[in-house]
Amino acid sequence: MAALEPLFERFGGAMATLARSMLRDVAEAEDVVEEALVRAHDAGPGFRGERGLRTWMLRITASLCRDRLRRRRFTAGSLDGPTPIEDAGLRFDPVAGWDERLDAHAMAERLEVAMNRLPPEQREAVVMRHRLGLSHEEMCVALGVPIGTVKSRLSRALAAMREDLKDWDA
Amino acid sequence: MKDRDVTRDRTGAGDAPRWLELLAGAHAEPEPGTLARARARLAARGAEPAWVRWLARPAALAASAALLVISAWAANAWLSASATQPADDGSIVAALLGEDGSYGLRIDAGGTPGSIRPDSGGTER
Repeated sequence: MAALEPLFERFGGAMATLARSMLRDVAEAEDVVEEALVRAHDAGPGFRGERGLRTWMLRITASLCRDRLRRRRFTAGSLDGPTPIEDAGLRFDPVAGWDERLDAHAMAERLEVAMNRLPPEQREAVVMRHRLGLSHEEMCVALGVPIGTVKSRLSRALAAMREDLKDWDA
Repeated sequence: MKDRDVTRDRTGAGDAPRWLELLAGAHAEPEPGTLARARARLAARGAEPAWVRWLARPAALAASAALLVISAWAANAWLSASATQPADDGSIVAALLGEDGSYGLRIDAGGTPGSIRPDSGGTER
């Protein structure tokens, strides 16, 4: 049980970010993180470490999020609220190198809404790639799908978001 | 968390639009109570017998499903085998029915309408 604390310290942030981005419900996301820690503890002896602990923890978290989304009959964390990022229990920090003349927070909120209109499998791909910074190979492991599927999900997600935000590209 | 700083550098967006970088600006920190709750769950489970813990694992569901399939297959095989077995001539039903369907009664094929059977209770003139 002593191994739980370093796991939580190192990966708790990424796990919580993934769970809250997917579920948009703080309490449910915390339940997922808790369950993921318990499962990691149970499966710990079988962990071989080929692909890294972080990917493995995110794989458990993503799987639990998918289970919850399948069972869910309502949409938590309304996207109609004035603060879609904060409503999901996320915090927005200034992004380095971003043009300060633009209202990054307002743009990020619109981006959040566009992302949450995506189907869950595309949304989790976008979150893993662009919010958590996983490589395609790490995503294969975390999502349990081939690299072609990872790329096509990202590509379709990006096309849908571009369409949603086409006035930005213009 | 340190983790975020490392991952943000690895976001190779390629030809992705720049606004995708804004996604990396939103993040969350887990609530400290989450670790305590996970620990409490594990501690509570430590007091349970091993077989109860095993029942809670997905392997228990798989094992139950496998047992169900094996039982269904065995029952089906057993029923099929008994259905193809020849009827037991020594059984009571077979003895009662006989092969001629007389239900144990003798049918006189050459009998005339006026004839009286021995067990009819009538008298012969």
